[in-house]
This record gives sequence, C-alpha cells and structure tokens, in this order.
Amino acid sequence: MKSTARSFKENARQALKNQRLQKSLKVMGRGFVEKRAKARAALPEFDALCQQGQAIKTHTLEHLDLYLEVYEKQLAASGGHLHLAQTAQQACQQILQICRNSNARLVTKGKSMVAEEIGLNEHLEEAGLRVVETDLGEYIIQLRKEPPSHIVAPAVHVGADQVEADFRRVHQNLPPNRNLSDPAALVFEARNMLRHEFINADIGITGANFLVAQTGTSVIVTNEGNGDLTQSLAPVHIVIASIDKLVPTLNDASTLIRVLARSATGQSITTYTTFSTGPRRPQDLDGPQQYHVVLLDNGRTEQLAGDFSDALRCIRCGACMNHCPVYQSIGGHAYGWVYPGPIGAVLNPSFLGLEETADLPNASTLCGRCEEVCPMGIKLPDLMRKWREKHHAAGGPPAMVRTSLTAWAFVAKRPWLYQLLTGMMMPLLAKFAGRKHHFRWLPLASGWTTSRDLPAPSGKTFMSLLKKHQREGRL
Amino acid sequence: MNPFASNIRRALGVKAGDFERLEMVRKHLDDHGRNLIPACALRCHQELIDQFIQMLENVETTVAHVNDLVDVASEIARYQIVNDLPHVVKCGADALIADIDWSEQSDLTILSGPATGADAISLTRAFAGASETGTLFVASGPDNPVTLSFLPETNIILIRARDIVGCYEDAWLKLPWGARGPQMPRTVNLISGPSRTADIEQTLITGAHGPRRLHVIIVG
Repeated sequence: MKSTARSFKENARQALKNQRLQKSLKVMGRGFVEKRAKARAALPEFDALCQQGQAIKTHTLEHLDLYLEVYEKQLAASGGHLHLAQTAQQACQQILQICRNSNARLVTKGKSMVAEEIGLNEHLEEAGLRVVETDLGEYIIQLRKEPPSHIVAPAVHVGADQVEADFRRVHQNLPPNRNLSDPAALVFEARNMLRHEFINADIGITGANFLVAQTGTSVIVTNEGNGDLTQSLAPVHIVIASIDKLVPTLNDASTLIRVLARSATGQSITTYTTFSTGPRRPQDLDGPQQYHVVLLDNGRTEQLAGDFSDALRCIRCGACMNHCPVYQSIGGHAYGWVYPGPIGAVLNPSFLGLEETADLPNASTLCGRCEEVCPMGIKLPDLMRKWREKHHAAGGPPAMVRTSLTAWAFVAKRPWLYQLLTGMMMPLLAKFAGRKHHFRWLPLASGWTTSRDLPAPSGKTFMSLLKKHQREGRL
Repeated sequence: MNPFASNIRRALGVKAGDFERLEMVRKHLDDHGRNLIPACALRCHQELIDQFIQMLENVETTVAHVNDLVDVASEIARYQIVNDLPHVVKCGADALIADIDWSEQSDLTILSGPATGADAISLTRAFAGASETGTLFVASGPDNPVTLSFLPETNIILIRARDIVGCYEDAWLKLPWGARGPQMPRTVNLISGPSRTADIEQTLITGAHGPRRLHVIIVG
C-alpha cells in the first residue's frame, strides 16, 4: 500500500470537512467503547488476564528465536511448508511463486493486516491473478478501491447506501428492482456473490492472529466464517503472518483469546476461532492439500532490539483507535498507511521512516486513553513521545518550532523564572481577552484560533492561587 | 539453521545454545502450565451446563438438552419442522452420530460426506464445549468434514453433556495427547454461534458467509 502519511495534516483537514465520513464516524460513535466496557465488567479477571497476556508476549519475544525453531519443527512435522520472508517484496514473491506452482488463477482472501502491509493484492493482480477479498468489510473496500480505515472494521467509514451503489455497479445480473436498502439485504447479496468464489478458488490466503509453537498451528479469529471457507475450500492454503504472532502453547493462546475479542468488539469470543495445523490428513474428505506459512520479518527483528520493542506485543484488537479522540475525529485513512490510530502512530514510523511519518506521533494529545485500554499494556503515549524526541534529535521539526521549544525548555527548567514570567503574562492576557474570556485570534497561534477560540487565562496562575490558599490556611 | 532465529539472537544479544534460555523454553512447553482460569469456568458440572446453554442463547443459538441418544432423531425432526427446513441432514462418520437411530424418522434423508454448496443442513459433533463462553470445539477429519461446519445454511452440533467443561484449557485435554501436547487434526474449529457480521454500519446481522442458524443438541 502506498503511503500518504506525509500529507497527514492535509488528510486530516479533508477528513474533518468530509461530511459522509463524519456521519460514519458518528455511527461508529461510542459503540466499540461501550461494548468493550461491558465485556470487561462481565469478566472480573479481565485486567489480570491482560497482565498475564502481556507476560506471555514479553516472554515469547525474549525467546523468539527458540520458539521460532520449535514452531518450524512442529509445522514441518504436520506437513506444512515454511517460507521465510525478510522483506515485503520477498513475501509477495514467495506467495506468487506458490500460486504459480499450482497454476492458480483465482485467489480468495481472508482479512489480513500483514497482507495489506506487504501490498499483496496489487502484487498478485499485476501478475494476472484475480484476488477476491471475502471478509464483508474488505470486500466492500476492494470494490471501492480503498484501503481499510480500521484494523477490525475495515469499512467502518462506508455508509449502507454507498455499499448498495457499489453492489449495483459491480454485481452483474442484479435486477434493478432488487431491494438492497438495508444491511441485511446487502449481507445476503454479498453472501451469494462470494459463494462461487470460495468454491472455485485455487488458493485461499488468510492471516494469523497467533502462531502456536507447541503444535505448529496458525490461529484465525473471525465472525463471518469467510476465513474458514477461504482456507477449507481452496486446494492450497497460504498463511501470511509476521514473526510477532508467535506464542508458546495452546494454553497461552487461550489466555490471549480471552482478552482479544473483548477488547476489540466486546464479544466474549468471536464466533469462529480456528486452529489450523498442516494440510488435510490422508483420510480427510476435505480441507486443503497444501499448507504454506509465509513468515514475515519486515524490520521486526530490528524493532526487537530497539526502543519500540513493546509495540511488538500488539495483538491488533483496535481498542487504542476506538478510544482515541483523534481517530474518532478523522477516521483511519488520514493516517495514510496500513495501521491507523495510536498503534499506527507508533508502528508506521518503524516501517516507513520518520521523514514520511513524523506527523503521526505528533497527532496525539497524549491523553492516555489508548494506554489505558491496551490489553497488552503498550505505553503508546510514551512511545509516541519517543518518536517525537527522535524526530527532534534528527533536526526534523522546522526552525521556528525548535527555537520555541528550546526557549520554553529554558524557562520550564527554572521554576522561579517560569513563575515570574507566567505571573506577569496571565493578568495581561486576561486583560486583553476582556469580558469574552476567550481569544478569537492570537499572533503565532492561528493554527488553534482559525477553527476555535482559545480560552483566556483567568488572571492568576495556579502557583499564585496555591500560595494564596496556603496563606489563608485553606489548604 | 533458521536465518531468522540467528538474526533474532543477534538483535537480542544472546547466543545459540544458552542453557538457561533453552531450559526456560523447554520448561514452558513441557509443563503444560495454565494461566489464570476465570472463576466462571470453575463451577460444578450442572452449573457449567447451564452457563454453556445461557452463553449460546446469548449469541442467537438454540439449544436442546435431551436425555439420551435415542431422542436425537426426533429432536432434529422437530427442529426442521418448526423452522420449515428440508428433511435432510448431511454428516460425517462420527461414531456418536453413527449410533443415532433414525428408524422412526422415515421421511428424513441422511447424507454422508463433506458439504457442497447444495447441502442445506449439516450435523456435526463437538468433542468438547467450553462453558465460559458457550464455545463448541469441533475437530475436522472423516468424522466431521470441516466444510460441514461452514457451507450449509443450518448447522446442528451434537455434544455429550459429559464433554462440556469449564474452560478452553480443559477442552484441549479432550483431544488425544502426545508428549508435547495435543495431536492436532487439520483444524479445530471453536464455534460460538451462527456466523455474523457488523461490517455495514455496525449493524449486527446473523448469517454472514457461514451458517445462518446454529442448533446445539446436548445429549445425556
């Protein structure tokens, strides 16, 4: 997928103006937030399970080399094939080669963020293959030629009327008088269309939520059953997964499954959680004849050694973006690449470099809600701050910003000076603001004041009020 | 030699063959240790069955509890009549299903084999059920071809009451085990309700690509 993260500010501006998007974001509203809160409240052990999940992930990452070797052995023992891909390009080529080896023409796909990361569809389509996304949300955005805007609900930005228009545009033999006015009718239509594709597919590609070293198993979680039809009906099943998906045992996977769906959609578990190990057995009557796992690094080993290794614990539940005031205002596309929201602001600079993505870690108020709801305890605000520091150290921000920051730091590090200056400034600002108690315009602050008024200080600083209260014995 | 493993060791600053690390991993894999089990999964068996039914009913699944295998055929016939479904089921070679006495249901057609797009109703058997979330564990194989769980519009799952346990960890124990862990079939499908989607405007629709109806029959 081509990044537009560089033009984040413009993307965000457009998103705020886009009334259709704003309507969809409003529909999404607090749905995810409330459902997660309910699911958490219904399981008294939820927080403790999250902490254990974090420990499992940390332990695995610290011994990733060894668990990888166990996984490789177990996968081979079950008749699966492992392909190691250092880069996105290599992964695409390996998958294309598997397709070519079986003279494939039609590929069905379950939802996979790693497939988005490596730009798999484009690569296969350029080579002449027909690729059909089968997750309903992914199918819709594929018809619209758009990237996903959310890692769990990829078409959350699309309205039902737009889906209807897309189906009428693309589905041949659809009678004009067919009612497609509600989501249920649209789901039924997509179900019927995709049936043929599942049955006729030559290759089925899925991602993996977890890879279990103990048994050489890949795990997917879905609600629609599309992932299972994809991987059970095609003669060849390819899993594309990154190395951070490894967990040691089935019991460890079970713990993580307890927190994944609850954090993501507020379900206690997704409708389907599927553990796949190898190809069909000799006596089996169905299932794929070949099982390939393409294991992707794409910079993750490097990340393991660096400042951002905690982000490798991420299980892609989407809770951070669901709770992010910035994501809620601009949606996922503005972030400009595969991973939106706070986790995207932390991951995307690793994948694309800071020059391309410097705006992302800055597009946060550091309010901390993402960290609060992250089941893997990833300190997202700290990590965004780290990217800001790196950006600053590399001379990234414009001279004006750097000079202002240096000046501010000089003052902030000297409390007496800070109090002196603010003590002088606040009454002055309060006086200028007058009776309206806000500014419609301020020099050097037009970025704020063009879209809203800046509240004016009351006239006294916190420190002066504190001293006053202490003098009067009120504290 | 796996080049990824060597790269990771370099990044972590560790050496291959570090005894302590190897021991740590070996122990973690061989202990079959459990993490925290939610209290709701640690109840008496009758409560677990009640919870199992409740959790499934919460996700648009119907559940029937019959006393004996001889009651299964009539329960399936009843379910088909109530829901106006064709009097046919497709199933695999599962031993429990093979023991069902269909003789009283003369107009019911029993087909066997994997599912095709034409099959309306499948009958499969779960080797375990986890009551913590009302989750059925179905193992693929000749007994339960995997397509039966996903292609037909209606899926009926049979489970023995004694196979209902509290937590996922106990469900895994119902598979045949080797030294390192359970012997996995090609797929183990954890099923908790009929297929669903909320991809269009967050509206929950039951019946996406998989079954639109799920009926669970508990035996015993």
